[in-house]
Amino acid sequence: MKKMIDTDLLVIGGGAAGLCAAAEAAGAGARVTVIESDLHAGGQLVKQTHKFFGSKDEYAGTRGFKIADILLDEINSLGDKVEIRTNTTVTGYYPEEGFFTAMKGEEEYYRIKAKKTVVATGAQERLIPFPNNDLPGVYGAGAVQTLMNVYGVVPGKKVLMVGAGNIGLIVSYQLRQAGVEIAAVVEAMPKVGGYWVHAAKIRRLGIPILLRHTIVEAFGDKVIEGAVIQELDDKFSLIGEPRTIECDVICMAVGLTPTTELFWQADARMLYCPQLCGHVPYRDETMRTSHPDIWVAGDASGIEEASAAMVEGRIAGHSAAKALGLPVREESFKEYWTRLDHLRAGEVGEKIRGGICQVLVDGWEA
Amino acid sequence: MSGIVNKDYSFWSLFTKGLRHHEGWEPAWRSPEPQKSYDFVIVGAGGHGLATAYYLAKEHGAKSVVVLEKGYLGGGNTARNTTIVRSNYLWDDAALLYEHALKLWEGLTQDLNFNVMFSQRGVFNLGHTLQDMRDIERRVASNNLNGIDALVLDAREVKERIPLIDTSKRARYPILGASLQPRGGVARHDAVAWGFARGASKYGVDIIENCEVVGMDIADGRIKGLETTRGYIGASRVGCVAAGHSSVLAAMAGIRLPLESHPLQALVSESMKPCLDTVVMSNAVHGYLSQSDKGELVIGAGIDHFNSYAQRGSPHVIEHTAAAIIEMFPMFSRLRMNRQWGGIVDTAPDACPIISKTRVKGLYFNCGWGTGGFKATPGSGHVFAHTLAHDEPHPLNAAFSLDRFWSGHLIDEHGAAGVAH
Repeated sequence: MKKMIDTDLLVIGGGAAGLCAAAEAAGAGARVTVIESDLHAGGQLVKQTHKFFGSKDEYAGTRGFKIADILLDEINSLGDKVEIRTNTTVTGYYPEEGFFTAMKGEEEYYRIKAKKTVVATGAQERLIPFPNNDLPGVYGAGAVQTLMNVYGVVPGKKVLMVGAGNIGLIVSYQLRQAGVEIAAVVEAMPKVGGYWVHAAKIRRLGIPILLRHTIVEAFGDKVIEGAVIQELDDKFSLIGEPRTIECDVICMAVGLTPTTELFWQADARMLYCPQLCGHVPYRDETMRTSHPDIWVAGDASGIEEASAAMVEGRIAGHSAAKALGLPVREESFKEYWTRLDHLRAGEVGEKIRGGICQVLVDGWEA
Repeated sequence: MSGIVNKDYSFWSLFTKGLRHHEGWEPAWRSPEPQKSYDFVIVGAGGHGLATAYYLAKEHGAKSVVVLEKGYLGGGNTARNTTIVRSNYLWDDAALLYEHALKLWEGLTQDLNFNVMFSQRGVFNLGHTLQDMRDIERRVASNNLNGIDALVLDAREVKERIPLIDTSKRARYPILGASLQPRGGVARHDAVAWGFARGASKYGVDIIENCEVVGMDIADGRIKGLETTRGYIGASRVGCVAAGHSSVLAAMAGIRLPLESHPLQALVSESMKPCLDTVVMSNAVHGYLSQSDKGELVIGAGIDHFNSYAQRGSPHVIEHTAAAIIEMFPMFSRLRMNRQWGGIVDTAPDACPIISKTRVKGLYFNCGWGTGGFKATPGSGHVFAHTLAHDEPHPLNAAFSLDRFWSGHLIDEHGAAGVAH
């Protein structure tokens, strides 16, 4: 069955960035529809049981899933301005016709027409190929987090974690908290990618972090029974003796890449930016892409922290509301950028700043 | 450069290369720098263009042949179609041309020494109305007179052969019967382009990718060469095989072709276990489908009625086709579509191709295949190579000349062409 949804502002993705964009625009009086493919809004926040860093403005010290509740409360306090449609996936954008298509579950099909759109589709997990990676027991780290932190299910008894970025380290720690043994964390780079605080917690628990190591293959009869790992040299060629590690779960935390299909379909100007982990749309400082009616926010604009995603969402929602002709508090825009600059300051933000300066444009020609 | 460059593929080469971990395979075709001039220049390295070059070199002994491609090899409609092969056309001229192609398909894998995965799984054309069934009876009779295999089935026989299809009277457009061409089927589109490229390269044909023709050098009513993005290339004879962009090339020679270019869409589903072992086409509800060897459903949609060179189409066409497929196969209603794309089809007023000389000496066009050129790939190349080599059409394509549009000898194949033109 075909239905048409008509809205002022369409927000695609009900995660950290999307909810902030919706709250900001609805606060200015916009009629907002949020489309979320998951069964509940909140995105990655709902599976984050750890306390946030960053700034107090972005709820530092609060656990991720609580932040999702705070944002949803803010949205609910705005009355019926925001409609959140869960279990609904945007499947395409047709620029000539000017509408998005979406599916709710497996039965309902919609066309969505919106005056303005914020695309906050987040990121997808990367996977690295190795023999037998299709055996049951190979998970993305996001899936492990969802299983444990949302549904309360442990994925197995003994895990090999591939990747020592923040996600790999945090998920290892959470697995351990849930009583799951971590055989090892392997990382191809010569140093840990995540924060030292997280790495130190892992080390204190006696979990080996094997730098310059990678997974070579998995083995098992019907399910994962173990993996073979090996050392790498400076050029990422395999050296040394392969080692066998017994485990029943292999958890892949080898990075994320922005979800950008809708920008491609909208013919937005894109750039491959390694610092932002993939192709991302060019944007002006209001987060508007080269498509005049489409904004970007959160990981879809480049892989970063949830705190930054929330501020980007605020900026995009603010700008989209303004473009809809609604009165907005002009000072907010400056405040949000101050917060964003603060989050990206220092050594940790160096990579992000290097990426952002490549894709940030002064403004779009009218 | 001529002579055999690549060695034949065989079980022995597979075995010996296998012992060396499959290292040391040579590229299937050479990528040389363009020469200053050639006897024959083919514009467009799709299936038809590569086949033309292949047969020119193989059957007509042409030594100096180049194929120019503005994008990459086989990246146009060759890679954008639903790979259906059949020859059940109504009129003698069309039926014999497509049957010529079908006969070539039947030996193509051996001829090219490249597996084009031609699978003769049969093609059903469904009838949903009394008039559909009358047309089917007429076309099958005509096919049989031309020595082409075809039979008429009633709804029960259709259901016996395709258990998943809904032949109940509940359907909005109930299936009354079908025509079946058992020798029809599908082939692997990429393999066709690669096989012809490899075959042509083996006979010394140069294939130049990323080389767009931007102008034609014509003097005294004769073609002298082509301006390309990789410089000037002299030519004695030029064959244009550029599908939807043929009109653009023709305009460079001051020729206006009776073609309209439209986007035609297709889509591919997620993979399933084998459940459909034949090809089903329906003009009335407008959808056609088969299941690929990977288990995906390959679905052909309709054309967008506006003219366009953009390789994408409108969502309402997709919606319509999805509805048509579910009408025929209710069990596919929950299937997810993985990919969707558009190709630019060049449709002629009578839904038949143009394989013709032009008023410019040495300039030839092979175009207008509309929505169904893939099935003709080897036959099209074969007769077009003959036309270029002899400066005269092959008996099978004599009727497909440009002058039929002012002489009035049109070959009306709107019925058999399948997709509404």
